[in-house]
Amino acid sequence: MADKEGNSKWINMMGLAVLLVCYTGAIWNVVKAKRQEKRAEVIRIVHWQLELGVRDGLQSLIDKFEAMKAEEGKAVEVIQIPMPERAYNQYVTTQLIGGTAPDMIQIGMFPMEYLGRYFYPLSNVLQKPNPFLAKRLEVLNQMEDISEADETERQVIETLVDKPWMDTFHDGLRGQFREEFQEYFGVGFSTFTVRMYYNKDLFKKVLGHDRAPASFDELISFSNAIQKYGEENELNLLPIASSKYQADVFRWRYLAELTADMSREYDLDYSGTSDGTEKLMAMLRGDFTPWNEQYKASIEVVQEIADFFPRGFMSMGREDSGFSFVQGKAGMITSGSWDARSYLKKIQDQPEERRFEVGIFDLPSIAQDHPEYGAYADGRHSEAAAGTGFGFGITRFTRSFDLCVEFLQFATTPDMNTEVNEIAGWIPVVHGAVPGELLKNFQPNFVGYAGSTFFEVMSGGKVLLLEEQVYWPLISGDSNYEDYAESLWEKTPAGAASR
Amino acid sequence: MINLICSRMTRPILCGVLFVSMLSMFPLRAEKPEVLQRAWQEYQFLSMDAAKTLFKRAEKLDTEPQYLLEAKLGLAMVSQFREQKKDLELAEKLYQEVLAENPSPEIRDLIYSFIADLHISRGETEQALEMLNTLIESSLDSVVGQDALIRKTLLTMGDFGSPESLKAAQETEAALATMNLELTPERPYLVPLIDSLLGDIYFWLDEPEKALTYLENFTKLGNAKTTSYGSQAGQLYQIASIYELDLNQPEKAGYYYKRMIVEYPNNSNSYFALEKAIEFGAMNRKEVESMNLSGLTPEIIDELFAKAKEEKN
Repeated sequence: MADKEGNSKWINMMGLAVLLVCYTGAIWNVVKAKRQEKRAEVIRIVHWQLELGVRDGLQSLIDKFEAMKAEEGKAVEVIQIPMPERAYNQYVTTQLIGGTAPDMIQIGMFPMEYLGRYFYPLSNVLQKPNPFLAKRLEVLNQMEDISEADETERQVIETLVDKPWMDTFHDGLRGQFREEFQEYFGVGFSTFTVRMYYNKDLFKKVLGHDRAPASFDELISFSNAIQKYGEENELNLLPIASSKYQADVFRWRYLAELTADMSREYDLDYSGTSDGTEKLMAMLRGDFTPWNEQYKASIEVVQEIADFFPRGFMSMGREDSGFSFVQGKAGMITSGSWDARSYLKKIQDQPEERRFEVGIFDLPSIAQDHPEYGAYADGRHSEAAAGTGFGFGITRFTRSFDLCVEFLQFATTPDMNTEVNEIAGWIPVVHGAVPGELLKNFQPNFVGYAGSTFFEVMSGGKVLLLEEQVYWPLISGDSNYEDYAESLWEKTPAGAASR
Repeated sequence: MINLICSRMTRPILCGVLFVSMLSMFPLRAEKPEVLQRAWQEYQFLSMDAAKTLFKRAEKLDTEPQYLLEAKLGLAMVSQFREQKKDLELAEKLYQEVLAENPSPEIRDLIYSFIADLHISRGETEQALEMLNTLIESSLDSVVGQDALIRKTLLTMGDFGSPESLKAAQETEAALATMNLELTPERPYLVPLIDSLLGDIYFWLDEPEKALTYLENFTKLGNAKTTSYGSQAGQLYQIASIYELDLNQPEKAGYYYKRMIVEYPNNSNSYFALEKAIEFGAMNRKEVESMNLSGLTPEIIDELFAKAKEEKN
């Protein structure tokens, strides 16, 4: 009895101690924030990009901005708050509802209604020129020995200096336009595309060359060779490292390549692609069913590639397949430009004998003379609307709206946009900004078509959900096409009739 | 685009913007009380509880009667446009109180427009139409009057392709003919939206020539700044497709495909448009090369022109 009481006292004391530590921590944070605010005008910027290099890129930008303001005689402090992807929505929501949100927030991961409620529309400032372009032009004009790169930048800025800020972005900042509000709420720093990374050293060893596959058939034959080499030498070697995440990239890319023309064919309102209603009408006419040869081919292509994925790829995470690749256990992997810097760093961090050279290529298109799929090949999927991402909005809780705008303007001059993306390993979005050598293969490619035809009637609705339930067992080899088609076709009417 | 005018999310913001911009046309002697300014800011952020508290405080201020009236209107708008705990009866009562004070014609029109919205939310179509007709007859040269015309068309047209849609389009055209405004791309009012709606109605009525009249107007009067990049690109694509597929006029189709790629290259359909513009002889090699489109190699350009030549033969 006495022991129990003693334990209970201890637990109470420990609880009290934890409370005290939390309380002291909270007080310390408040005092620190107040002190910071006394020393300088403080703005906070939060994002979820924990990929290698991004924080450094942003910090370099912040340092330069603070130095520039100090030269003007104004003490400014910009605090970067990186937040893990999983906690981001929760953090942003809590902070916005509580009225304590940072001054600038990376847009995404949270419901878009928040934009109207908690963010300042930026259309007005975006329609005026970016004043930092004029300042940069002045600096470049005063240079005596101007390098070729600076001269190019000077010429580009001359064409941009009087234009609205939004027109200084490659896409006119379209990626940040919110149609539902008819407003711009964000300013973006980068753009993103998806390519394939490959192990050049392994290619040389297995294939006798380090050339990237130039066609879909080469992708398959190179993968076959790597698989055979692994088996013959009893090596745990994967032709293509993949999880469901990467498999999805192949799925959507080849679906678009093989069914974009169907999307135009079913398009009744001449919008350029078919929407849910138009696809439903095609289903009712009997034109679009799971037995449609063209649609079937788009799935067979992915099945063919999936033969080279690791067993049980569906239960693997994106990071697991990334690990296989950087450890030299896979010939290829598909991912976005956002992973480039992380992959390279991880490869460099390995013991010297395990390091390898990385090559990058676009997913090879299916040629029109391909014996099986060529008849349906439309061409690659266009990246003309890749848009501007890594965008930041200014929240209504800021006390430094003008300073936030200044920071975003400073960040999106060609030289600063080059620098932040060079360090982050991402693709710049401002005219005149130059992508790093590594990123040149990731430049959005204008060539290609829009749209794809798949089982979705209402955006994100039940038909797609039902399709996915039978799609993944098919791709992982747990069912056959006839079962997939029958099951999907049977459930589609009920799915289309519900939300 | 048209849907945005009526969407649940944008309608309250749009009404707030209209109201506040209307007020700015009539500066008063005394500076607007801070509490009232803050109330409108909260309203724009859709923080309706905070806006309501501030409007109530503003109503009790010792200030110009116009500002007191504005606070009352703010309270009415909060009651009408908030997502939850709407009180349409209170909103209507407050609108009537403001109308009884003989407000300026511009404020009166806005209140009529809000009352029409109120009737629509209660399913009282007849009363809503009556209010919208009043606005169309008295104020078609204003944005509020044009908004009423769009809403009336949407309310009466039924399905696309129906006889009701033809009747609604004809009535809208008749109303447009009475408009007395100098429209420019800088000040297009809401006319490009009306053009787009009429174009769509005639498109679905299988009257492509008539549809083109309005759709082409949309691209002449509207631009990326006033009607958005995406809608301009989309409309140019639609016009080109009508010329190509419905009217078999490749030259005209080529002209619009070319416009789409030259004016709106950041569009998923722009490569397809380029292919078509070359096929229909609307673009020569020099023009294509000068666009410096990423990924468009000389080999691809060769292929596009060779394919166009083959199609021609």
